[in-house]
Amino acid sequence: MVDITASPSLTAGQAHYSDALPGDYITLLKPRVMFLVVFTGLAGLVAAPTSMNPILAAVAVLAIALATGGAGAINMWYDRDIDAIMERTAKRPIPMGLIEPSNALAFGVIISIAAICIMGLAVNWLSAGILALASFTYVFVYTIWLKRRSPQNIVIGGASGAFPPMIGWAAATNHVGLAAISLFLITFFWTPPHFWALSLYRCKDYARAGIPMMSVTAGPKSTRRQMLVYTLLLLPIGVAPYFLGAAGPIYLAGSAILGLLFVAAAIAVIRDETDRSAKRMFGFSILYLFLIFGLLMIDAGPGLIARLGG
Amino acid sequence: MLKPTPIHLNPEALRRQKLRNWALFGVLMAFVVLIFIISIVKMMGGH
Repeated sequence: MVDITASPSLTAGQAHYSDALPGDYITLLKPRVMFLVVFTGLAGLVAAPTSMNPILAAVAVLAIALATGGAGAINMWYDRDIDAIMERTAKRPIPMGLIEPSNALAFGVIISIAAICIMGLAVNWLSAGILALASFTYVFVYTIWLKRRSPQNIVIGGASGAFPPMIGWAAATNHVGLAAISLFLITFFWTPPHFWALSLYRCKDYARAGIPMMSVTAGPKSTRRQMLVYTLLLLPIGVAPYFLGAAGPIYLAGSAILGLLFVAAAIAVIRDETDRSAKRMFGFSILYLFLIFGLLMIDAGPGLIARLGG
Repeated sequence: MLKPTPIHLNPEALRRQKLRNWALFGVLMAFVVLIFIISIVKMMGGH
């Protein structure tokens, strides 16, 4: 006879699988990442120059959220060994012993497949295909192939997080053009300075887990310089949607100011080599993405209302 | 042949198991409702 006892206060590895609550499965979906991804996906959907049934638009957003969560759960299953070592991730449900690894994998795979099928059947197969490509990139290219092997892990793997605005656009238009690609490129070039800012003040954590982040392999100085290069590249890319007809003058002005502020934050990280400036850069990078895609939606708002009304 | 070992859950573990079962039920019901709504919208010619 086996007696399974639930422990009230848990530390890593002490809990039993029967302790898992529904909330622990929600944690597997990486809700904070999901929120950012859903927001950019919604922006792509709203900015697209066509009207879409609001219910199907909501289904498209739900599918993006579920696929992101599913990929996150598979990532937590694969990375359970290094998650247990890193301070930042040690309290995730698998290293805590709350959820059996195979259950997390099954949960992630089922959710991912369901999300892609829902997107294909309810919206269109182009957006479902890009959604599948995004999940594939996150799980196989980033998590399994690059994360533990290359300092370029988040540069190439970052493509997975850049797909959502393109998916939203494809969901609305059933087409991917230059404007949708420009939305993809914004998040793609935003990812390295965002993650490298985090890796600067979590450098020891990454080194202990053996993850070759840029700050670990090339050192903080080189990482800071590369962060500046990416923010400079992001400057023209950030305003590109205006010149490609995907946004108006409000977006143009806002994205130009935000781009300059991002460059200023990267320069501040080079000048002030403390964790404080890196943390500030990390915080600003999140704000940057929210504001730039928020501006895109504000700019598209009047046109969208007119289209829905018409 | 080995007999399967019965697992006895204490009240707290049992409560958590029930919560998980209810959550699963809720998710399945939500999925059914979602498919129903999508079907209706598609039949009405939504795109």
